[in-house]
Parts: sequence; C-alpha cells; structure tokens
Amino acid sequence: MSKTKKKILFVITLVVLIIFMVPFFILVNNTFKPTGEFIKTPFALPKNFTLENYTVAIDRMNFWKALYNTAFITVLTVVFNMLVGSMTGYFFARKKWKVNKIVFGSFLASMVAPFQVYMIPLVRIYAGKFGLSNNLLMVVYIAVGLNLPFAVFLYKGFTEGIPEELDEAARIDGCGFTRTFFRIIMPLLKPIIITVTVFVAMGVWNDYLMSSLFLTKTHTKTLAIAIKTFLTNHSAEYSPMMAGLLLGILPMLAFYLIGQKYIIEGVVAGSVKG
Amino acid sequence: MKKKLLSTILAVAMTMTALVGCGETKAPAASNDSAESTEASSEAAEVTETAEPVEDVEISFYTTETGKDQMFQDIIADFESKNPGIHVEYIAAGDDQLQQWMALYSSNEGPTVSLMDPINIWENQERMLEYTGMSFVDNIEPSALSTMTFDGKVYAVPQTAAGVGLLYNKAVCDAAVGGDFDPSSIKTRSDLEDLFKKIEATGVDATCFTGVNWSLGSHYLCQAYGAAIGTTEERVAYVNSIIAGETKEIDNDVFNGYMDTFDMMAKYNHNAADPLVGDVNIDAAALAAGECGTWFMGDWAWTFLGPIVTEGQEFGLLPIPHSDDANDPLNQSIATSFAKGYCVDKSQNTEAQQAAGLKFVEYITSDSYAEEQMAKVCGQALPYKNATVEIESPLGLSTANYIANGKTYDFYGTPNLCPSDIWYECGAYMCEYLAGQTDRAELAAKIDEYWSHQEAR
Amino acid sequence: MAKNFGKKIKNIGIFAGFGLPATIIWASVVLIPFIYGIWITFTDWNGLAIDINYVGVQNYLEVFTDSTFVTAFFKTVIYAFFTVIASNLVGFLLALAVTSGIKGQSFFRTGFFTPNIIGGIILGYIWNFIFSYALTTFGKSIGVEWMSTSWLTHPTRALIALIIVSSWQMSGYLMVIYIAGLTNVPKELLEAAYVDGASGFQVVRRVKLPLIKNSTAICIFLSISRTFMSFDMNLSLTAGGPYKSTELIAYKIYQTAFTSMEFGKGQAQAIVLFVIVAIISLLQVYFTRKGVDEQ
Repeated sequence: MSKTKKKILFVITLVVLIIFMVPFFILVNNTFKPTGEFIKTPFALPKNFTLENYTVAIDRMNFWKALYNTAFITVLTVVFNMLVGSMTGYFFARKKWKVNKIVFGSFLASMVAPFQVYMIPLVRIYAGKFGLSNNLLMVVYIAVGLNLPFAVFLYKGFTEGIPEELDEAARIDGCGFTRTFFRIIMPLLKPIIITVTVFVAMGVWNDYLMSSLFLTKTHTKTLAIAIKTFLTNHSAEYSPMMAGLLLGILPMLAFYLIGQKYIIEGVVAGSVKG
Repeated sequence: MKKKLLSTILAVAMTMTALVGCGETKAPAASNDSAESTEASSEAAEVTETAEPVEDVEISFYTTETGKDQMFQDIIADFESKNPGIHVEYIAAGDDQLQQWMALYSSNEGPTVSLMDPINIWENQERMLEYTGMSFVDNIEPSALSTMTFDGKVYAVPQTAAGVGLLYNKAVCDAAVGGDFDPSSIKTRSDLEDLFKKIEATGVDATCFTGVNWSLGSHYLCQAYGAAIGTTEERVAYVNSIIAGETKEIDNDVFNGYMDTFDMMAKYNHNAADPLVGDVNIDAAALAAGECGTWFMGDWAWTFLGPIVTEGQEFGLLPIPHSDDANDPLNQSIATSFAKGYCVDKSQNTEAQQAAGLKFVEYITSDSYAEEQMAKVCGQALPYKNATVEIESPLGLSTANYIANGKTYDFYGTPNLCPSDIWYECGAYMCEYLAGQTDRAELAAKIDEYWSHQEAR
Repeated sequence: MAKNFGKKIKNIGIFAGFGLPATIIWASVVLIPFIYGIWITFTDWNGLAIDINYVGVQNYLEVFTDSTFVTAFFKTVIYAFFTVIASNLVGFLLALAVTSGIKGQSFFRTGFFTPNIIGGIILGYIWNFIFSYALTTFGKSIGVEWMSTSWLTHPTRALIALIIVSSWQMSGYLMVIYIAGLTNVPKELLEAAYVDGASGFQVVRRVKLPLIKNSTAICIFLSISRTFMSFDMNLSLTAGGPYKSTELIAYKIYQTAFTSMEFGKGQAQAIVLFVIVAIISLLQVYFTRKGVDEQ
C-alpha cells in the first residue's frame, strides 16, 4: 500500500475511532458534574467542576471492599479456569475418544443455552441446599464452570495447531501424558492462555446477574453489584454511578492494555484451527 | 502403574479441594455432591428450625424502596441500639426486585422482613405471618390497611402514603390565573382545561406526561379501577366482570371519563412532539424551570425535584378529575397509593426471628426517630396514627393536607386488584395510545384481552 | 491382553486427571441445573411458591400459542440478522484497517475493543441519552424531521438503534478474532497477488477472505448466539419500548419469569429459544465446515 493511501486510511480509522469513543467522552465528562447539571446539559463540559462524585462513589459503594471481592473472585476464577481448561483442551485435542467428543459437543451446546434457564436452579442447589450463599469461593466455582466451555473450545483449537510430533518426541524421552503436558505443551500455550484469561477476566469482573444471585450481603458485594446502589426505582443517580463505573473498570483497562499485545498473538494461533 | 494412577487421582482430588475447600467459609467441597443430591430438591426445601432465645437473634430486612440506603441504615442502627441482641442484615434491591426476592427465597434465606409491593405479598401470603389482632396494627390509619388486607387478614403494614396526581408549579399557575392560584378551584375536567388554556396563554406548556409504562400503565390507567367504580367490593366485582368478559372497558363510564381527561391533557402535553421520550429527571427539570405548569406524577417526585428547585419555589398536587361533575368529591380528591408494605416471613425464619422481625416492623411504623427519617428522606405522608412529624417536601405536605381534609381515596383498595405486570403490559398499550398509534376502542380491546388472561380476583 | 488392560487403566487415569475435573465442574454448574430447569417447565411454579404443581406440557403449548412470543421471536430474527451482518462487516473492516500497517495499530486495537470492557447496562443508558437528546438537538438544528424526535420512541427506528449499538459493541470483539485470521495469511501470498497486479479490493476478496474462513465461522457462531440472547442492551437502551415493539426474546423471557411471575412459562420459552439457537448454530457450523472442506 502506498504512503498516501496509508495516511488516508489512518485518518479514516481515526475518525471512526473518535465516533466509537463518543459514549466514553460523555461518560468521563459527566463524572465531573453534579447530577443536576448532568441532567440539564449532558453534553456540555462541566461548569461546576467537582470530584465529589468519586468520593461519593467510593463511600457509598463500599468501594475498596467491593474491589477486593471482585479481584478475589476474578483472580481465582481465572487461575482455575486456566488450569482445568488448558488440561481439558489438550486432552480433547489429543485423544479423539468417543466420550471426549460427546463431552466436548455438550460443552459447545451449553454455550448457546440461555442463562435464565439454569440460574434459579443454580441458586436452589448451591445456596438453598448447601447454604453457600455469600460465599465467594462458591461464586468462583460457578464462574469457573460457566466459563469452561468457552475456554476449552479455545484451548482445544490452539492445541490442535501444535504438531503432535512434539508429543511423540517427549514420549520417546520418557515423558508420560501428564509430564508432556506440563513440561512441553503448557509453555507453548502462553498466547492462548493470555487470550482466554483476558476474556474470562472481563466477563467475571463485569458479571452482575450470576453473582447478584449469590452475593447479597454488603461485605460480599462485587463492584458490578455495588454500582446498583445508585439505581432508584424510576431513575438513577447518574453522576456518581458513572464515576463508580469508571473507577471499577480502570483495573480491567490496565489489564487489557498489558495483555493486548499477547491477545492478538493468542487468537492468531487459536482461532484459525478452532 | 498403580502409583501413577494413585498420584493422578490425588492430584485431581487436590485440585477439587483447592477449588471449593480453601478459605474462610463452611461446608467445603459440598458442591461436588450436588450431582447426586439435586434430584431430591424438587420439594421446596424447607428448613426445620428450633426456636432460639430472643436475646440474640439475626434477622434480615429486604427493601425494594431503592436509593434510600443511608436512611434505612440509620433507622436500623437506631433500632439495634434500642433492641440489643437483635442484629438486622440490610439487603437492598436494585431495579430487579422480584428476581432478587426469588433468589433469596431460593437460597433458603427468605428475608425476615420485606418491604414489597402489596400484590407480591398477596401472591405469596402462604409464606407471610398474619398481623391480624396484633397491637401495632392499631397504630396504622384504618384507611391505609385495606391495601394490605386479604380476606379480613392483615399480612402487611404500609410504608408511606403516596399521593398520585398532577404536580403544579405555583409560580406558573399564579401567573396564569393572575393572582394566587387556588388548587381547590379545579373541580371538573373543564376547570382543568381552563387552567391549561390560561397557562398556555402565558407561553408555557400547560402539562406534561412522562411517557413511560409505569406512570401511564400503573398510575394513570389503574385510576379507572379505583374509587370512581365504587367500594372495594364493587371494584373487585367490576374487575372480575372484565376478566370474565362480561363487561367491556369501552362501555364503562369511568374508563371513558379518565380517558377523556387523558385526551384533554395529551393536547397540552409538554412532550407532545415526542411523547415517549419519558425521563423523570428531564420532566422534573422542566417543571422546576417553569417550562411546563403541571406534570402527571406523584409526590415521590420530590426525590427528583428537591435537588434542582431554587429557594422559595412552591409546588403542590392537583387531583385528576374524571368527569365534569363539580359535585363529585372524587374530582377534588387525591388518590393515595400504599405502594409498599412491610411483611414478615414465616416460611424460612425461626420463631425467634419472626418475633424480632415483628419488633422491627412495629418499630419502623411507630418509633418517632424512624418516622422522622422516613418523612424527611421520602418526603411523603405517613399513614400512622401517632405520626406527628413535619414533612418538609411541599408535595408530601400537599398530600398530607388532602388526607387531613379527608379528600383522599385509596388507590387500589385491595392488594390484588391490579396484577403485578399491569404496568408493563397495559403500560405499553397506554404508551402506544399516547403516541397516537391506536384509538380508544383498540386500546380498550387490548386491555380487555390482557384481563382475559388473568385469574378472577 | 495384559498390555491392553494396562493401557485401559492408563487411559482411565488420563481421563480422570485431564477430562474429569472439567466434566464434573461443568456438569455440576451447567448440566444439572439445566435439567432441573427443564423440570420446572412442567410445573406451574411462580418462582416463590412453596407448593409446586405439575401441569404437563401446558407451558409449552402456551409458548406456541402466545402471539407476543412469536412476535418477539421474529423481532429477534430481524435484529440478529442485521446485527450479525453489521458487526461482522464492521469488525472485519476494522481488522483490515488495523492490520494494514498504519500508524498506531495497537492503539486502535485497544480503542475499538474498549466497549467490551464495560458491561452493557451503563453503555445502554449513555446511548439512550445520545439518541434521545444529542441526536434530536442536532436534528432540530439542521431541520431534519426523522432526527428531530428520538429514535427510541419510534418502533422501527428503536430497533435500528438497538442494532447500531449492539453492532458498535460487538464489532470490536469480533475484530480481535478477525485480526488473528488476517495476521496468519502468509505475506508471500499477498506479495505475489500484488505482483500479479491485483487491486487492494481483489486481494481482500480473492486472497484474504478465503483464507480466514475459520475466523469467520467462529465470529458468526459467536455473534449469532450473542444476538439471540441479547438482554442487557435491550433492557437499558429501549426496555422493550416503545410499547413493547423492541421486546427481544431474551428480554421477553425475563419479563415473563420475573415481572409476570410465570416462572414455569418463562423457563419453557427459554428452552424453546435454546433449541432454536442450537439448531441455527448447528446448521451454521455444518455449512461452514462444508465450505472449508470444499476448498
């Protein structure tokens, strides 16, 4: 492509990006206004610049506790999801047994099952039968399970792109199935691990519906639940809500920026064989 | 080989334990058993519990009155200090009150005390403690109890008395009538239209509809099943005859009366250019700024108005006249809605918890501190006999004046008069009508159709 | 014989170590509750009641005779059709742009992906403001009738708004997957094409598109299942309005279960939705596989 063409393309892309980002400008801009001003002039720059929305959000959302809970759930979910998901993905990629095909097929099918079908049963089983409501580890367990099909789907696809000769070589060197995986395969999975991690982490970090069913007490709330503090019956306190939201997504944004480079790498190898 | 198998199994076991076992909480690894035990959970899992000493008890309070966390937490703190040994867990709903309630009950953690819509309490009365004959019920205004009473049994007590009607900006109305505007001068639909014309003559829009389903469906439409039909028994009979298909809405004078007023108001609608934009904050701002003279809403709107009005502005509440009969007292009365009530669960709470829950309900409906907080933050009249607290919200004050003069009527009359989804289903038809997409006959037919799927009351 | 037996034991061991944990977790969190959910469709449970009565297939019969459900379904098909096309098209074009070697590629990649980092509810509210007030102010100032009133109060335009916002959010997600496919296209192939005098458009059509079939298949699968289950955006952008004209199926299910408190019926609707989406996905996978194999 010629240089002029590239420049034109750059400008076009930039314009599209600016249009894409308009809602975020509105979001950020309005966190510096009192709610009254936001309602009257949602698109103007702040007249009475204030940081009060941030202090209100931190105070009313019980922000630090909610941040801790969210981080706790997200980190553990991501770690276990990665471990179990990658092992299973590898296993399904290498051993094309009938039982594996059935299980994998069921995983895929469950990806299109509406969550509403099994959400109340989930609560009745885990919170009702086992009394595990307001237990963060319970939420981790469920989040791991809900994200497994997607993770296995990507891990399997990626592993299929790794030549099986590598396994053979390891076997000749005396490695068993388990050791081959941890010593040889897992290091090669790095890109896809990061991809899945980012996708799963984003989903878990922002999850409202599932965690709200289990976490009802003030000290177990996550950020996505705590933000509901600002919703009233027929309206919302928009300004502190947006401030709280912005604070809540900053860690994710940072995480995404760091992982971004690897994500692309990960999906490159993953999707093509998927 | 065996060793290897064993170690693999061990590894798996460790992973599983790590997954569910570590950490602060009880019942580790229970989740793995779920596979076998779930089939049995078909019987609604009821806990069998033993009574604990009243001195030390934990209860929970679930509120669907949202955005008032601080108020409730202050009230709870005060209650706890006055009732040592009782600890109240505060649970607030977001905008998904029924879903959360279901989740709590499905967790076997049904709240001890719930502040819910009367219709939801009625639908689940098998779970609720009966208040009939309890002393604290005597403190409730008798007129406020019918919405909480089923078959003569009291299952809940009301939170506030919400006045529904036309909010007016006094300065605008004063300018329109050229002097001091007297709300009691509006006795008929024609009077109201005269006022509207005068307001419009000053260059201000006369009235405003917020084109949202809950306002038009739950508040405006449901007036047509209200006091204008007659006594509570007559209202129920009327609704039942629609359900049975014996009566058609379009043949009913009350329905047509309210819809005539609706049509008249729609002509002067501030939002007429785009009637369904529907944002309470924007409309509140319009009323406060004097861009429109009146607004169909209720006294709860003070939560939107309060923060944006300027010092010295006056506001009040006007009734919605349904006819041109100046002698009809209803045309000068405000509909008061007891939209939420406190109920106590008996299905998932121990007797000690129920007793503590009752104490909490008694406290919140009679204690002066609780009443003060409630009146201050909600800005609404309280339907309690011992309530002496001053209401600061001019809208709540307006409702209180109507109540004091006996110029109110009970919005629903009975908890189950209108189904829990009428705001959503019929609200949509009302929006469609306001937008001019249907005529009245079509609207009436759709509402008839909606009712035909309901069970007799 | 002994060797075979040993191998069997070994395989069982591998299965126990690698396959079983995922299967158990998944079964306990998804499969069993799902079966439980199916059981509820045969009852009249309202989500709260203590007593549960069997009503047979009554709920399913009601699903198919309920005209509002059928309407919501067709609305969803229209919505899904346009959103899948728009988001894939935009996602693909964005991917082309940010893999073309222009300046600030990784900055762009991050920017376009950002809508996915924030949950749908709040974004819906912000877009609501944009459609209700920003566009209308603009429309009035330039005197364009169809932009002077909010799109969200007009049935057709509200659906279009929903499609626009959903596509806006999803295209960044799909872009990532398309980028993956595009960066895997061998450089030599592209150079060869250019040497042969192919135009940029021809290269995209004849070289890039055929080589990223797998990415396309994944993107279409993801976008179909996401659009059919779209709930958040529907709730916060239009709330089914104006007058239920943008009530998509997942939102309808939610209303039936949690507003009308007909839980069994809502579950039955959800099962029907599941079967439909599963069939559509199967067909899609089947046809794209076929396409790939024929290459």
